[in-house]
Amino acid sequence: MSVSTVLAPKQAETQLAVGIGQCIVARDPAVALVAYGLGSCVALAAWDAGARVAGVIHILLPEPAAGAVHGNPARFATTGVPYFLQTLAEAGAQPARLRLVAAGGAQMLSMLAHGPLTGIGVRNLAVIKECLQAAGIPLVAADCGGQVGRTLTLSVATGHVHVRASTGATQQL
Amino acid sequence: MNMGPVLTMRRARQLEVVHRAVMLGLQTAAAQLSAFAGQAITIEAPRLGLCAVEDLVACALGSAFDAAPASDAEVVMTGIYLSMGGDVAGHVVLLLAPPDARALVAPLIADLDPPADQREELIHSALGEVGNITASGLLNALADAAHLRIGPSCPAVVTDMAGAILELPLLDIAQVAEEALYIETTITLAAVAATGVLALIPHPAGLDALIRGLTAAEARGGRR
Repeated sequence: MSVSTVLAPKQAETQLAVGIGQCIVARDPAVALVAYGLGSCVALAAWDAGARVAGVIHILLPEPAAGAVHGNPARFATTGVPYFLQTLAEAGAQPARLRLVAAGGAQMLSMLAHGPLTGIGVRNLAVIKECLQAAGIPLVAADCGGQVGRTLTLSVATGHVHVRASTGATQQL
Repeated sequence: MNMGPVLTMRRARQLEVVHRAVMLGLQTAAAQLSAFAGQAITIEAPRLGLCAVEDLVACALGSAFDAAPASDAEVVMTGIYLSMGGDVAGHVVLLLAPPDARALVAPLIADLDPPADQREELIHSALGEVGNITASGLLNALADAAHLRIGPSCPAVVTDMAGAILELPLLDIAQVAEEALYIETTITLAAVAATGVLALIPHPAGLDALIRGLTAAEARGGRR
């Protein structure tokens, strides 16, 4: 049996997709939250073992462009992280018990090493960490960076987070 | 998915003008690509869609009326990506299943009979050229029709999850807009019975420039 088979998440759970710019908080143990095909986007996953509350936010960009007004806070790290933490708290999670992990933040094309989209993935993760630090909650694990697409799955029942890379490798965070 | 942005009649008429120009551009691209690849390649009539930027990946992989399942974003595809510059900024992405991408360029490199260690590099390079030809054919036709300067960047070829590849245009558009226009079509390789997705995603300011150019040119030409 290969390592990836051992670590593969249970498929019996209903997979609920967390799309780009979406934030989903769930308490139903039959559900797994999945952020598919992350490139430079970062999926931040949270689990409170006490309240059995789980959530995933799929962040696209570090911050809105100067002067731009956007209706969706979950699109950006600066607005998305506080919104995510508030939504988790409203569902009964306690900040001190939250376990937070992240995946994504890759740079898909080396040709974009210059220009306005430079290092968006790295900046996404950096700003997420800053926002978490401001809230006093550590990021305990991350599978980020490189030039590889990833899918993150969070089991609401167990809090287990698996990250599947486009190479086929799967790891648990 | 929500119902997405609402089109006004005026906007719909403007987009019809873009649709006609893109259709002609794709015919040019298909002819040039067929000549290059030495095989019959057809590109279907394009579909224009307007969606919330967050839905762009699902819509480009499916359509505005029939978005692809979210899990399609993790299907590994070979993507050929070019950015557009000049008067109309934006993005062009060609997505093919990896075996189909290889089949598309196999006849081109067969005669070269490259050593094994250079084979991947040649396939990569030939796929970049496929992107170049497709994007140039399309963009030159649009530029001529709108009397604008539009040119593609060098192509980048990457094999990875479709969602991770399609994020690139999204990152750019999402900084400035809530909705994205995408022009999506199916590219069919007769010899290998394969299909892929070709998506053109203009920057909002570029789309406005394109609409102005095409509308003015059509008015001068005495058309609607």
